Amino acid sequence: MKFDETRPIYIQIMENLKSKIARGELKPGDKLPSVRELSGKIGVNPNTIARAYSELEREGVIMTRRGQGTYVTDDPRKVTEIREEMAASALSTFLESLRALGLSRDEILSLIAKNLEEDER
Amino acid sequence: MSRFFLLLGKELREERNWILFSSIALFLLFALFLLRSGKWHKGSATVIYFLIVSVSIFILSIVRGFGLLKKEWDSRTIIYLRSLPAGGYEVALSKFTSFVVQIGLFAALGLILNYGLFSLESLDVSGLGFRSFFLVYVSAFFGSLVFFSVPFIAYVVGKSTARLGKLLSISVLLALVYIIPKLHKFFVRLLPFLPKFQIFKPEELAQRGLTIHPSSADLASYIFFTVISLALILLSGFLLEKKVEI
Amino acid sequence: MKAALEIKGLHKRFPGVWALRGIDITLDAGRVMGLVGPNGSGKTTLLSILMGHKKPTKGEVRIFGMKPGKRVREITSYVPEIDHLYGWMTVKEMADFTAGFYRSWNPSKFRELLEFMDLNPSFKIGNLSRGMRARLKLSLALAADPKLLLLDEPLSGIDPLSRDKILEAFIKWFQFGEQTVIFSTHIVREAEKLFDYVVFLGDGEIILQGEPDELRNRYGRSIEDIMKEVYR
Repeated sequence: MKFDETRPIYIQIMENLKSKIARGELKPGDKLPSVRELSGKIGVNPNTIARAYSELEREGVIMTRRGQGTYVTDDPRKVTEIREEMAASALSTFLESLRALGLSRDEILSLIAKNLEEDER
Repeated sequence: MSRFFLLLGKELREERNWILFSSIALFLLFALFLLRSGKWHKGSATVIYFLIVSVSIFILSIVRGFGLLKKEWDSRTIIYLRSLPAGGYEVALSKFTSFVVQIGLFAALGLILNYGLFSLESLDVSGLGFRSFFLVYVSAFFGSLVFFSVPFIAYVVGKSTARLGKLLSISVLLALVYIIPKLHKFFVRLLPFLPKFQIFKPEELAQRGLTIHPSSADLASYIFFTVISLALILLSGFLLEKKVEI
Repeated sequence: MKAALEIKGLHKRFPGVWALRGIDITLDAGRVMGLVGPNGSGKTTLLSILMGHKKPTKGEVRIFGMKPGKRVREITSYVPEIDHLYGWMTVKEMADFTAGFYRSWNPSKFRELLEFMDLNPSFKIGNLSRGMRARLKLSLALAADPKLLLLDEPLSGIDPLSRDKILEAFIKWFQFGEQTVIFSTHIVREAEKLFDYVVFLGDGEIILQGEPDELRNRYGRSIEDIMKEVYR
């Protein structure tokens, strides 16, 4: 896992797990590596990972079963929610940069339509 | 206690070469002596011989007194030594004990060679009894403890200040050289009941036709040398723990 | 639970220069503290004082409630930047000598570390390269299972492979959360993800201290870039 060291590491770990869930790499009910395992794997301080896990748990993305480990939530609605949330966030960054180029609403729409058509071909 | 023995074991292994080197030097000294002694008068040959042995024991002691800690500083291993959970006094005592073993071996070897050599009838040196040889070496041994511990503590004191360490070291050395003989006299007078030993019995000397001063050795001095050396070493250990910066 | 480290108003003066001028640090047990700053900022002096190798001129130092000394050394492993091992010993002799001093010495951990570090027990230390000696120093320190580990510039001046090995070994064998470490370095990039506390030292003073993620958040920069910024 590559990190952008200019941003808090725990936030990047949260984002990374959420995107894995959104992409379906991690499925509802899947077991997550323990804090120590993940720490050894990605070379990040376990306290930082523990913080990411506890934030994710607070958001209802993952859950800890006492004595068993940490799991991805088995609520499928949560997965949809994460996907929507991530899509919304990607979209807003995308739109922001296009608007910064001075493109109008119609121009943006036609650009997207054109690109999608090319992709499908 | 086990820490002390670990440190002692390390010292002895590290000193292997020194022990070997000093033993070889002693052999060479004897060889040289054998070559030259024929030309000397019996009595003066014996005296010269004892002088050579005592002086070399004392020089070895002084060199090791400065050297046993200096080598740790020079190789920066002092940092390792002082990072281990061993007290400064354990470090100092282990070095002292390793020296005692070293000088003990050296003296024992000297005694054996010396007595063996001087008993050879064919050699025209002398024929003193074993007792005389034994006492000379025992006296040199106990004396060497002081010759070791004085430079040892002088070195430690020199390291316990950031400035003018060398000057302080030399001052302590000179002060101890001045004060220890006085303490020695005082101590020996305190214990008049302890036995004195005649190193060379006058009648024995006369019989052999030798003209050596019938010097004596005494138990009080041996005790004094041991006590003052241990005191200096323990004080060095205390300084090493509490004052010395590395 | 006593704090692993309590330093109050620590000053250290060398002839003609103040190496430390008023250091205050409180560190909980189980933390990974990065002690960062350029050469000559006082990092080594601070670690030396914790080991009792240097004496404070002013101020208070407590390690698990104890003053620096023999009892602290029983629970602390120190890895200085310089080579301080006995060159005439072999790797095995050095380990046997060291092992006897620590009740907590873990021989199987040491064997694993040697294998990981590609160190042969029969090698003579004096013949090892600088990187290999650095690997050995860390292995000895980790195998003693100390409560407090003091690493002084463990990554500087060694080959890249040794640097990777040292970082990996630290991650693998250091018991995060149980052991406490002070990791002094001026090469921050490789190590900054490991820290959960950072102290920036400059000219004998603390310029900045805090949790790395808070600092990244506040400055929008990596710890390395913050360091470059504060030392400009």
